[in-house]
Amino acid sequence: MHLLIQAIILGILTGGLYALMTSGLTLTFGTMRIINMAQGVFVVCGAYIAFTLFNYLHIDPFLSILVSTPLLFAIGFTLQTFLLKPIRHDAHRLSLLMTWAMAIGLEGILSFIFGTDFRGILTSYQNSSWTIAGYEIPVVRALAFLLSVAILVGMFLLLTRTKFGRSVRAVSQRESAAKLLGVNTDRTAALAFGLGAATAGAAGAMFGLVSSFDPASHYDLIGRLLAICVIGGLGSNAGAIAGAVILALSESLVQAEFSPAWSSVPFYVLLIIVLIARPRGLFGVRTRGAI
Amino acid sequence: MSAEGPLLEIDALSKRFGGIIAVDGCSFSVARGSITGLIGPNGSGKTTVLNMLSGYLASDSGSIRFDGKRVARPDPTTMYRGGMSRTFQRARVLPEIDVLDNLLVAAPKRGLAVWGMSKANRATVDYAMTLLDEFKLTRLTEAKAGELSYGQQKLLEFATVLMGKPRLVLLDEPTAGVNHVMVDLMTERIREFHAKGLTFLIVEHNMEFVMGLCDPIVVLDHGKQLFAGAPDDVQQNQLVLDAYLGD
Amino acid sequence: MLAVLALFPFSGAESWIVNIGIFTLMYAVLGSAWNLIGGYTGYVSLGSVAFFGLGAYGLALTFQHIGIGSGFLPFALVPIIGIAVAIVSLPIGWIAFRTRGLPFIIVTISLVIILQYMALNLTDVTGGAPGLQVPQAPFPPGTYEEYFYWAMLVVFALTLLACAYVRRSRLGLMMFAVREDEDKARGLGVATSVPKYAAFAGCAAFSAMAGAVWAYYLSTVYPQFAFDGEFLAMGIILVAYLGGIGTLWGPFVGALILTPAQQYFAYSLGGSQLYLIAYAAVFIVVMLFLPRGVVTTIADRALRRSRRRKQAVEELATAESESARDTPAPVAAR
Repeated sequence: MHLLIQAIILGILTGGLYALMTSGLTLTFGTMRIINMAQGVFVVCGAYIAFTLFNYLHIDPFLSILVSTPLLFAIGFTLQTFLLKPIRHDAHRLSLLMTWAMAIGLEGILSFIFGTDFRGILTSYQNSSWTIAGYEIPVVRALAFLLSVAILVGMFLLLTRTKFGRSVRAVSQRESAAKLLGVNTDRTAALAFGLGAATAGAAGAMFGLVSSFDPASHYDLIGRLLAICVIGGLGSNAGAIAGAVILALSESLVQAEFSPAWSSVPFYVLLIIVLIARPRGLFGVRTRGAI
Repeated sequence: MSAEGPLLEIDALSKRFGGIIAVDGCSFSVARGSITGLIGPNGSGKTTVLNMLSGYLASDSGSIRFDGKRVARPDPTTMYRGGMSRTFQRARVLPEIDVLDNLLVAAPKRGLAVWGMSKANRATVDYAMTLLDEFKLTRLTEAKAGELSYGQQKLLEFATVLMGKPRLVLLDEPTAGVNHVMVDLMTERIREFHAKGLTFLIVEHNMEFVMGLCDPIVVLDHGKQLFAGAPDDVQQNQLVLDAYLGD
Repeated sequence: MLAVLALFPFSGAESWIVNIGIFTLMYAVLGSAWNLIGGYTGYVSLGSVAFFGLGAYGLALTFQHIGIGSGFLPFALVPIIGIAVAIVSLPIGWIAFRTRGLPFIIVTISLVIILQYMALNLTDVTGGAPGLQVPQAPFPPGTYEEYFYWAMLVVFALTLLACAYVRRSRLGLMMFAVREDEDKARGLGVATSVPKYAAFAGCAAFSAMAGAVWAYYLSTVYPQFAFDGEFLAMGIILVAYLGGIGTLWGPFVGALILTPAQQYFAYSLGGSQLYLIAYAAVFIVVMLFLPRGVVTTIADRALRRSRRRKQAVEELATAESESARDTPAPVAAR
């Protein structure tokens, strides 16, 4: 029983981090109606930035988020402007390939700079944990969880309280109407993409603390993030959080009860079940085409 | 085909979207062999009713009877094959496909014939060409539907929904965005097919068009029927005038 | 048309060229198979890789459990594997078709991931990471590649035939209708499930056949390459796009351009770093400058020229004109 609760705690903590990574995908899908296949590599970029800052300047990874976030925002914004905007007309299909090309290109650049060995960020508090009520709470994951939640709340406030946020929601709901209302949809899309990349950058630093990574790690990552979106419902923030927690919980529980090798299985089984029972996802919106 | 009773009967149909009640216990019927108009101010639920009838939207409650038989859960394909087809407010054609093929795809072809080598048999192609001729689209047979002007697309869409030899055709704002020459063409075709036994239910805002063509006319307001009757009666009815002018 | 295929018998080309030829044809097969579901029916699927891998493993496992002799007999297995995988694809399709558009793409990606995962972990069946061995074919070293070239050519011919059939048949028209506006098609009485499943299963069948030939050629089946979502999946789609989705010869043209380029990059830029960047750059260039594909762009231009000629003739010949003609409206947004 103790083990079970321990696994649940761990799952929820990790789930927060996954939710942060996925939120960028939801944002991009909402405003541009595209799947950003490069989200995984943005996370990995964030990890590498944290790694570099830690190893050469001894800056704590959590602090390096202050660097990786704006940096990745800039990268995202630029990529959107030069590579995604030109293909807006056929965005639905081409953007899949384009963002994938971005991902591979960035993977190549990362390999070039850092080589292909696995890296990890090993801070002094790497393995320490707090003990609360008899349960071990790893410091790293706890901090990651708290920070992820903070950022997600920040994003929520951004989307609901600011003018930019309103533009984003307007574009998500009906782009043509938004344009008529004077929203600069191109710029909103670019900013949203940048924001999505920025959150990935922040998540990346924490990701680097939690697991080892190499440039090719993005591939596994994006696969999971996408599956999270399907389970939660594409375009839904609540869905992203729910899906992320479900993924992390299922992995954590299986790892505790059985072996790590099969940890992904329940998640994919759940994916199939969701597809059969409720294809739009837990929080998805049914969109079958009248008009 | 039984000659008794209305071709279409709607009873207490309702639909709400979140907090908005689009259709609120709407009931009316469409008589066999009539050209029935469906009018009402904006937001009165006309298109929503059409969507429910044609199976594109599930109703929350109420019943639909087509040709005397209750249709529990309408589905676009089943309704079409059952003899009811519809056009859309914004003309929907298959843009990258030839005009002729747009028509051929709407022709019924069942069972193993689907796997054949030809797109359609001789009779079907002939019928399609006849329709194209009647709608003055013969010149454009090999053009891609997406290249047509908006008015031409509306005509094409109309022709397409006739391919299945339906008994009831629902037209959703057929004259919207179309010049008067094409409106006249459409009116002619409607009368012509009506004379051959086709029943029409037409949703419209263009009063001249409706008053000149439809009888009876059903008026909706706030999701339910306000009044139904002959064009003259509708035009003089106080409730109808209030609905359109008041509020 | 199809007679152009006979253009390929060749004489004394070096083995490495034949090798490139085999892979070109393989990508052509995969791209054309993808075209069935992605180009004609409009359901972008990254799943053909999954069926490619299933075909490869299918062949390897058949060797393991049913001692087929070597030589030419395995080639006879290829179509059988194709049909078998097509049947397997039907229930998978049923799950996948619960979604459309972007979620559908994600589901197909997940399919590849799941299968790769299974291949890596069900070591009793699949041999895990080291993969499965297929007995080497006893063909003489000098002409070893040629037999596989012919085999892949046959598979490609079959795929091309299927695509050609689709383009002129009722089934194909139904597929196009689904692509253009699935819900409108349903409203016109089109039984949309039929073309969807046919396309999905067809894509699975041909991808699997390509996989089977590939497995026999390489003699080893590794999970990372059989279910390679990263490069193979995107390569397939890129090939189809480069050539022109929805065309007949598009994927072939795309493969013809891309495969030698890919091999060149792999050869000269060896280690993964720059190779990846070059690959990505090619992708990006293609998408920015040739988004509709080579064949489509050429076809469009030719079509426009012939239309203009026809129109000029018409205008000269007929004096009659409809007076109140609409000016052309912008193409209806979807």
